[in-house]
Amino acid sequence: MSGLLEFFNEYFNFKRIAREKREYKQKQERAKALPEDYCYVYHKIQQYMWSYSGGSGMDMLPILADLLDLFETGAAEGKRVLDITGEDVAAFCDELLRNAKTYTENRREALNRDIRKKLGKGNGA
Amino acid sequence: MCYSVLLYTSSMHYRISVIQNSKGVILLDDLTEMLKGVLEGCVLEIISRKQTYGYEITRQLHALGFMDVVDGTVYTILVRLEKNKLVDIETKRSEMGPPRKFFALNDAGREELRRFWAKWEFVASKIHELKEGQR
Repeated sequence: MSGLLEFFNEYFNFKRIAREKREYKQKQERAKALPEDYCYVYHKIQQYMWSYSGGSGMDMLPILADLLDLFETGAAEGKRVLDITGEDVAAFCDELLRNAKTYTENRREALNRDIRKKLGKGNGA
Repeated sequence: MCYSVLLYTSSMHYRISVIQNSKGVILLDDLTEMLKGVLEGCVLEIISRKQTYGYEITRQLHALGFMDVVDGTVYTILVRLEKNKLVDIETKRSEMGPPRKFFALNDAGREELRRFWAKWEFVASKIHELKEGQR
């Protein structure tokens, strides 16, 4: 039952979805106000992260929002964007993705679940 | 002696820690890979001393000699600590930029820090044992 509620809350809670959409648009406006380098990296990160998103992807929004705070602070302190993310931006994204539901995680769960089902619990799985 | 150098290549530049001892100079590149598992404990330890924020934590890690740790790395750790409910967060205004999140350990965080040091001591002693060839 709770799974069903969760499902509806995820996909059919229009009030929540509208609010999150509004917040998302505000975020995009703030992103545009960032210095050019920051803005570019932010959008690239966003693209990359969305491509890994699993489920409705709503858990991605707070992560991207916090990232905006991080970038705004960095920009205000006059740092370069790559001083913040490190040169390996993809590695930085992967760390961020550890906090969200991703489709790779879904696949990993499915793999372990299938094997557990086949071999039975407590059988090394 | 430990210090850091800036390395420039055609595509990127990065900071590398260097150790100099009697046998010469050793580049500690890719230290980040080795630090991955323990950096979270380091951040917990720094937060446990006093309420602090992301950029300050990076500065402390740099001062310690971990030069290739970037703000982003610390940031992802802080996000994780928040998600795992190990920290209390207070948002304060700052003179420049958006409000800052200040972090302090809660009881669960202190417990996690204790566990981290226990694990660290175990790993460190075992690796030392291996290196010295004792049984």
